[in-house]
Amino acid sequence: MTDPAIYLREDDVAALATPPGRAAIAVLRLTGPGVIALAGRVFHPASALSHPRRMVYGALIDPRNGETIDRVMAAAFPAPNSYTGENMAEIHCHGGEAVVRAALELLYREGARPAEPGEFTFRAVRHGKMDLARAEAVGSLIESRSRLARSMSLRMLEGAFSEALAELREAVTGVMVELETQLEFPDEAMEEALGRELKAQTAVLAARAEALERRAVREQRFEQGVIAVLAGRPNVGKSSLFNRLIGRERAIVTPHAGTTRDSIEASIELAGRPLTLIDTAGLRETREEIEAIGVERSRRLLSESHLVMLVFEAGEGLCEEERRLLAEIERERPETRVLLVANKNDLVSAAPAVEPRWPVVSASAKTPGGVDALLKALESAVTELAPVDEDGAFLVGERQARRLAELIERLRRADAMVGEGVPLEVAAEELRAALDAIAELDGSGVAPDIMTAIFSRFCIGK
Amino acid sequence: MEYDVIVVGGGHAGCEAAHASANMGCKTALLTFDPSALARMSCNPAIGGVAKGQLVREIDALGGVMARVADRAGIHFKMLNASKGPAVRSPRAQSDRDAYSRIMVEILREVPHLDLLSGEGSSLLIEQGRLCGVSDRQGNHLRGKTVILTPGTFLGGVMHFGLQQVAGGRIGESPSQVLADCLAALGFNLGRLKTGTPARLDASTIDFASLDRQLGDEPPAPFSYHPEAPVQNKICCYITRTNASTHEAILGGLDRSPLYSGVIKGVGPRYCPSIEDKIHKFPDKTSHQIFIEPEGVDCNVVYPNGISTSLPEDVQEAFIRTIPGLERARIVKPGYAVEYFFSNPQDLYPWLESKRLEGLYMAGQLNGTSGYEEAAAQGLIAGINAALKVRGESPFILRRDEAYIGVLADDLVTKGCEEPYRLFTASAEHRLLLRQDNADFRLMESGYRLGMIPREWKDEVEGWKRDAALLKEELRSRVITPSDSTRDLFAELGLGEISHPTPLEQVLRRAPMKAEWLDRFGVDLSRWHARVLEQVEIETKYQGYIERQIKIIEEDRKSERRAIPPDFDYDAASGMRNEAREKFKRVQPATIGQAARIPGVFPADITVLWVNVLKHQRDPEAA
Repeated sequence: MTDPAIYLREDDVAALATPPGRAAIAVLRLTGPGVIALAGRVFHPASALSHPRRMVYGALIDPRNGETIDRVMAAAFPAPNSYTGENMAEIHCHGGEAVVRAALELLYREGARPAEPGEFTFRAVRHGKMDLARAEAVGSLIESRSRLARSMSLRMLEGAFSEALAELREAVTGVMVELETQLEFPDEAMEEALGRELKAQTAVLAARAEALERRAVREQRFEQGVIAVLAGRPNVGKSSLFNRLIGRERAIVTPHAGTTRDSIEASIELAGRPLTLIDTAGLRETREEIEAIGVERSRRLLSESHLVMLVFEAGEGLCEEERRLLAEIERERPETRVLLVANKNDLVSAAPAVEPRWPVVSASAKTPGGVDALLKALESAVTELAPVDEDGAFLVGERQARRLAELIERLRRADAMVGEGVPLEVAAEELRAALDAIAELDGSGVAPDIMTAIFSRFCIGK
Repeated sequence: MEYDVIVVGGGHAGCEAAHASANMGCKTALLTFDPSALARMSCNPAIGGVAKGQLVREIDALGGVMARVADRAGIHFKMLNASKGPAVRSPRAQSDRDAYSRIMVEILREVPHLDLLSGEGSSLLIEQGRLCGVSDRQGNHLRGKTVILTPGTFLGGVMHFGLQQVAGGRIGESPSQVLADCLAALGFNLGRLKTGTPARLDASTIDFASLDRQLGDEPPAPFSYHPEAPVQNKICCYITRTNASTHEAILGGLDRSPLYSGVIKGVGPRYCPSIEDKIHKFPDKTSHQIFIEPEGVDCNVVYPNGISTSLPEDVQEAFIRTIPGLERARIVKPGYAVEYFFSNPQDLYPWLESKRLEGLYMAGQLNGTSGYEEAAAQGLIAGINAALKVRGESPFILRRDEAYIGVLADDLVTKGCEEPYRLFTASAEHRLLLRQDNADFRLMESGYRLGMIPREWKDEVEGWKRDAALLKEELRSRVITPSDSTRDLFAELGLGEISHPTPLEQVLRRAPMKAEWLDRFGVDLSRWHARVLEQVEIETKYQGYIERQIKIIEEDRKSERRAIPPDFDYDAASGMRNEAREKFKRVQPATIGQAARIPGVFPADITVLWVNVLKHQRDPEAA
């Protein structure tokens, strides 16, 4: 639970208004007294924003280095003629995850705070932009959202995150108790000989928070999943494999080379992870116009994928062009992984001799267990591409990721201060902020009662 | 005749209240059993301590009396946490117990408009639903426009000496039973709390030579910003410890302990447990520290701090005599526990006026607090606000970010209390700002506006504030460049390396650097008062944290400005959780910010409340 008073602030907030994930466009929305000025600092031409409620085309530019983040549409909605009744701005950017994150991070850096659930609507009510009948519903709306959020994190995290946070809270509280005992009860603290190993304790806290961050998987990135492309010469059986992998007849399969003209996408779940499988037009020189466009698209998809499944006929091996393609991938996109698929293994007896640099798996779309090995290889590739500590990982959203980063920063700073001549109460400020971050992260909203902990742990009082 | 303000009770809260309202020009009566025995120290003979010392400084900056009395009666001065940071440094002084009371009487006798009256204020005079004074035990009426109640442990007080019970608020003094009945009849929410005190010992029977000494600071620092005379250390304290025989003697007497036999129902303070509690709850601890504190200069009584108890006197004597240095100790007065009534402070406005009865103010243990300083701070606020009420002016409220006094009042009226409330520095979310070194910078202007502080004191502080700003500006603009001489200077002062031009402000931020060394870097120290240098040093070193707290305060202040109308009807509010509704009704928060601090209230509750308040403001009839 966040601090109740946060809903009563009148600062600048920003949020992604459209659902997260890949989309043609994404809408970033800002509200608060300073957001039009803020938008003017990152949108060029800024002067175009002086026309109220007019959508203008321009660029989203990071003022620190002048780098263009995206070409966008933007509009300013001066108060009171806006959804919230405050100054508002909207930025419509392309819906790629990287673009959205870069844009949001820019807005946060320029002074906007990530919006709390329902905050735009709450502000709309606060400024009388909604009628009273709807206003009555807002209280329950916000409540139901947080209930949903709570049950979602419960389901998603299977309690792992909460437990880890609870352990961390307990550890921070333990250090805080020693520290506050020294501050509040100097006569007794002397007697309890506290604080000798405070430095060791703060170091442990920082390390534990860092371990927690390593387990945190960013929700958006995870849900986008791994993109795997089936590529290869025409008529090597890519579409048959595609259909077998997704478990239904999605791609049209004929004996004729060049049947697949356009790429076809399907999402499946593999090893518990989302996987987008893309069947592409066979790569070859062609004079046929539609097929040529398809081939061009295949090449582009190859450059955007995490995993290239290069399909070839087991009896034939890799041709010169395929070897060239492999070399190109290695050179241009070292992060892209390759899986060589020797297809139609039902037609040959011996394993093909191919490029040893990449794992090779043989497959057949025709025989009952023909794709088992392929699925297995695909599974291990996906597992490596989206590494998740399956026993300890949990999904975190953007706001949680930011709080987690803040938590780590606070604990690191507290650790840096202790024993360095910085007054203890300043380190206590950092620990207190760390506890606040934990309370916001796990939604408990419960600040630990340091005094109660002190009284139960030490014999205090003259 | 009619008084403007009648104060019932002459303890630390009552004295401060009467002093304040009379100083503000109100015709004031202080009604107490014995007007020649004011501000008695029923427990330890010391003023101040962590967070409490800050309170005393704040009381002084507002023109209160406690710091002045504590300085004059002080016999052993110590700055606690001196080796830690400025935010937790806290002055404390042992007092000559009799001198403290005597000096308070002297000061109050000289205050114009103040009558010290003898009697037991036993009931409130109410005519046609309006408070119009008090009546004493004999039925004499004392008419007044406002009444401040500060009965302390006397309200329904019962003392426990072992299993024997005696009605009273302090040893040898009778309780205010009728006043308790009166408040109960008026419907006040009374609860029971408990506190305790150790036996007092005959100093001539103690072997001081065998004990460790604890000396005061030299030079001793006074509480008051304008002390009447230099303060002096006149005594030293001693330290001894309990041992296995002590614990055995105490455990052997537990069957006759009112605490462990269920006789005492009131809730005691966890931060000040009795010795039987310490031994029972921490059996692994084989020894407990005891401070032996003389109760005065020419006084033959010492206060053994750390062994408060309600065990029978024979058990007390037996266990005390097992303690090194106390083998022959004679008990002058036995220790005892006292149970008393408190009234739920959630029934008060933040200016300590009752929500139930207009013109009635409450302060001190009646509101569930413990401690002389907490009592005095509330007395001051009650006295000031009763006077403002008489003048027809709006109440004086200190915010949580302005003063510990504000934290104390807000905690009480917002959270209520379940055990005797004591202030801690950790209670203040802005403790880096609320320091004992800057209480006059924070509050003296308010004291002046209230008529409690002379203009020249206020002007002096304003001058220091301006100077501090000028000096900070100089430190920002004066840049130290690396050279052989500056490198040598840095090395000499232990400031580390200088590798690039550095503003003097940043040099001061380095941990070992002190403001008094600024002349080594070309600053003309003779231009600046020591107070200015002190403030600039602390604020420069803390700057990042102070700025962050100020930013949070500014945000919070917006919600503190969102007022909830006094006539707001919580029962008519729609969409509100029942639990939240009950909490709001109980506290009746003045602002949305206060509502958000009520324990167990969630963000959604605040949203619903705010929406309903807006609705009410637009259309009070329909809401």
